[in-house]
Amino acid sequence: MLLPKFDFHEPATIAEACQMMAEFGSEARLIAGGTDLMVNMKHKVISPNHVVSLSRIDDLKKLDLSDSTVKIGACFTVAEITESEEIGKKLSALRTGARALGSPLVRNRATIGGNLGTARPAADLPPSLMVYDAKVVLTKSSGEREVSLDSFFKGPGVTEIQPDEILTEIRVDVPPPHAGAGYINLGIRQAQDCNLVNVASYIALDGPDGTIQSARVVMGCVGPTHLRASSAEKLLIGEKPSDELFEKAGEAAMGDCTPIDDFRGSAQYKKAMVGVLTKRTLGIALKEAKDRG
Amino acid sequence: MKKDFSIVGKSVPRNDGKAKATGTATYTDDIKLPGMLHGKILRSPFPHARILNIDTSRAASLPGVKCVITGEDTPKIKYGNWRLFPDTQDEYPLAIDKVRFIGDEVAAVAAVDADTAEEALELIKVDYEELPGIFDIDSAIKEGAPVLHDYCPGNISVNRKIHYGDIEKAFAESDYVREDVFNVHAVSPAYLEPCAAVAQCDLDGRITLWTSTQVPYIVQCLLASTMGMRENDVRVIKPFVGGGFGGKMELRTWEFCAAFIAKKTGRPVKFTMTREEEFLAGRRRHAMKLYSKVGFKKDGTLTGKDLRIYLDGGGYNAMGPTATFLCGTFGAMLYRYPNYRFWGQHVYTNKPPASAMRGFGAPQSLFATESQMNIAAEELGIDPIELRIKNAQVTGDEIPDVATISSCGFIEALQKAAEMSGWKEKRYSPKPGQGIGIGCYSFISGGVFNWFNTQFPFSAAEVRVFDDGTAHLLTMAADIGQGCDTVLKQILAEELGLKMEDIRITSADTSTTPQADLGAWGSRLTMMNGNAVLDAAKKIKAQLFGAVSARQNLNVIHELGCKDGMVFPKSRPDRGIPFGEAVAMAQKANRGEPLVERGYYTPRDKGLVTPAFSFGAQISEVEVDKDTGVVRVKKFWTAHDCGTVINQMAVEGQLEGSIQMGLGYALSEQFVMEDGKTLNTNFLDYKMPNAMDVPPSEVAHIETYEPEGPMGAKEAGEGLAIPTAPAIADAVHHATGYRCKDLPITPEKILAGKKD
Repeated sequence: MLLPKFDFHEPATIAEACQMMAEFGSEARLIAGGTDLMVNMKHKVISPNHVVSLSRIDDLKKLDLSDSTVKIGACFTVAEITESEEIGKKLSALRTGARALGSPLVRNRATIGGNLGTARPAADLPPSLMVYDAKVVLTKSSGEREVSLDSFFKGPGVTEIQPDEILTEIRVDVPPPHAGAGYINLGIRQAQDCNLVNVASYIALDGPDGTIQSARVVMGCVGPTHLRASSAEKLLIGEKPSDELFEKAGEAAMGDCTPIDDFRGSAQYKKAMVGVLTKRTLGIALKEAKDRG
Repeated sequence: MKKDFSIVGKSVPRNDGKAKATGTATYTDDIKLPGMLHGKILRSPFPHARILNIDTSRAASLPGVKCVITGEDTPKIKYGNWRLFPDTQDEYPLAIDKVRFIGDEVAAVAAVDADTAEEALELIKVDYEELPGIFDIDSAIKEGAPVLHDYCPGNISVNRKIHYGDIEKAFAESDYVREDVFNVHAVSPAYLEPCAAVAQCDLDGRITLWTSTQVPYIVQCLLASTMGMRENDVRVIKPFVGGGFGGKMELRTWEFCAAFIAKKTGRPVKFTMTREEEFLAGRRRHAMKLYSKVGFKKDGTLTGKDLRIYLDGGGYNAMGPTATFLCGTFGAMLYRYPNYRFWGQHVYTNKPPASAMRGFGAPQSLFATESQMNIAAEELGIDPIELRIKNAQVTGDEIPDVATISSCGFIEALQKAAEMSGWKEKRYSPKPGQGIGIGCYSFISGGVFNWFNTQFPFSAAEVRVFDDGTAHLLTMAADIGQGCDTVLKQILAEELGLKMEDIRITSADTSTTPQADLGAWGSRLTMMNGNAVLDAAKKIKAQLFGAVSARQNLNVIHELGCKDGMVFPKSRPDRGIPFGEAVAMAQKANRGEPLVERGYYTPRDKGLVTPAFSFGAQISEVEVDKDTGVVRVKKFWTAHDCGTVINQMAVEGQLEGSIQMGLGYALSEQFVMEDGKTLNTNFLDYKMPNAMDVPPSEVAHIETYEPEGPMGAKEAGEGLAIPTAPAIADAVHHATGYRCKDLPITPEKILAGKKD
């Protein structure tokens, strides 16, 4: 299996990269870690005339932490996320997702921007980023805009990114005290697998033993994009957390998802697992919410 | 009969370890010859179709393309490993008139590089007339089903029956009769090195073929006959091979195409398969449908078994005939069945051909046996291990029409596995969500039935010794990663009293190593080549002993020995002579003639199945997530009898690999197919377990002494691949109440079937 022919570009700055994307438009593809792009190019799923590498742009590799926000450069690698104590402390579910992704070799190459930009419904990083209400920065020559992840994914492989834009940064507000999140991915193998179902949940309590002030539940592999379980979220808000409540939230989430039968598993099983994982991730979120009090 | 060994029984590092660890090992795809062309194969997109016309003109005129061939260009000679029965040889190197599965080979291109060859494939125009396809056993054997091969109107290509005792009477006199249907699925050998071949043709028209194969001799003979050449005008060399597991034990299309095109163009040609091709069209373990009926007395004594098996063979026979024979033989192994009836049928379907794969019919047949044993134990109220001990085969037992078991450590293995695992406590006071289960095996140490119809001994070895104290071992045995080069060197070193580093080995080159060898399959090499090496070594020793005896003027009653580099009278070790000097004396006595001996082995008077049987028991402990149905295997305990352990580390490596394969067979691996098309043609979606999934394991070697084996050894390569699936299935049942009769055991099946 051989790569199709293409021109390779290595801009050194974001501005230069934006210029190229403006020039080549949909003829070009951006490459960061290449763990997705190279596979698809070898399979001739995509044959871009231009491949624009982001690997020489140091500005994209930064991690910028303050007390209130975490800003992660799009080319920050998944391995770096797994190793960051600060991310682990502030955004534990993101680190759980990063640890679940691929193998050490893949994590060394794969980037956070790539994991979002490829828009695979089974990807490991979107669920936790979405429950943290993360935003992405899309940059082009004439300026930048901030887009919520909630409205970023449009379908399998399709996002809000326009041909002349580059996803440059991910911004997440640090969760308040008494808030926590959990992420679980389910596959046949314990590692190096394509997820069958993945779910992340987030809750914020109004006090150490308080009621749920806000809640977000995001489900992967059960729709064309990652989905919010809005009826589960509604059901949680204003309630005291309990196993029974989480069980009910799981049942509600099952109603919020739209899985299909495919060779990886039946729709029925995936739906049932949404229920199980929602309940379990809420349990993890609650524990963290209490620990972070 | 046990002896004190110096080298045998030790964890001697492998001969090929350093080369593989440092990346210097040369595999077939690493070979580059001047002017070499790169070949690619055009495969059928249809599961069943008639070829109306093939137009290769556009492909042939693409710049860089040097040769395009279709079946029409070839001599149209069928091949197949069962040479003794030409009717079973049903395959052409490239399709003639018809294709029978998606991926069936239709044409081949050779070009200056792989890119160009691949591009040329797209320019070949094939007109097909699609035919209705059949994708499962039941549809294939139905009246009026589409026919795959004209010679075989009912789609059943092989029939095998075994019958002894009176099975109906046995069931009538039984207190308990159990009947079940089991369905087991196809899995891929998934060797890490995809198949590859490089061929070169010399100016006299002779072919040299480097190929990733388990059977250099079989490839030599079948390539010659299919090309219309003489066997000895074909030389087959096996470079380093990255695993075979049965998937590389036949002549294959690319071997033929490489040789044919090399002859046609005068340039060397290389073909290397992609992983996608391997998953799409590669050989695989047979899916089978098994109807098994067993009878017991109240006290647990087996009265008999009636076994009916259909094998899903795919589009061609491949090694299906052997699998059909063996799954019936395996059905009567392990336990004492006074009455036994078997009927096996090999069925054509429009899928990639199934063939040999680690266990060769046993993982399927014994999944049924072992599952049913566990079901019967439960229903009879007898502990599964007690029930097995009651019916276990023992040394001296005769399997009718097969052989007498000359060594058997099965009962000891059962007892040891139970003890190591804490069976009693875990089985009878289980923790919630946890289960423990058992599976056992018996396997052959090489086959006896000469379906290849070779005129040569089954195995051969040549030993050359030199006056510098070194030896050179030549053998056609194929080390494909299982470690036979190391084991054979150990046997020779032990017998001649040399060190491993004193021995050079040349193996698996059909023009320089002694003829012949049937290949690396059926767990035959330690037994058969080990015996050939011993035979040659003993002949060398006779010469050395003669020379030393004459020199030292020894009384003829003295016995001599070889140890620690010395040749010496056993009663007078002080009068020993260094090995190299002894060689020089023997050479002088023969006026300079080199000291070279050949040894051979062919199992004789050992029935038609095997000269020796291995045995073992494996216990697995699992944890099942009651909400997700996901099974995590926590631990394995294995006690096995492979006779004398020649190399501890190598046997443990076989066990680790077997467990990894068994895990995949039980829980995760399968071809997902739709109308003959394989949907999961990569390692992401073909769920082979990886390091994270493989649990810790403990092993006990139950050493027996096999009188037929070299230094008491028998097989350890394939039997171990058998017990894992039934042991996991039993443990899952213990944990959840769900009894799997339909592999693999998926979370969905567990959730649907569990009894809380």
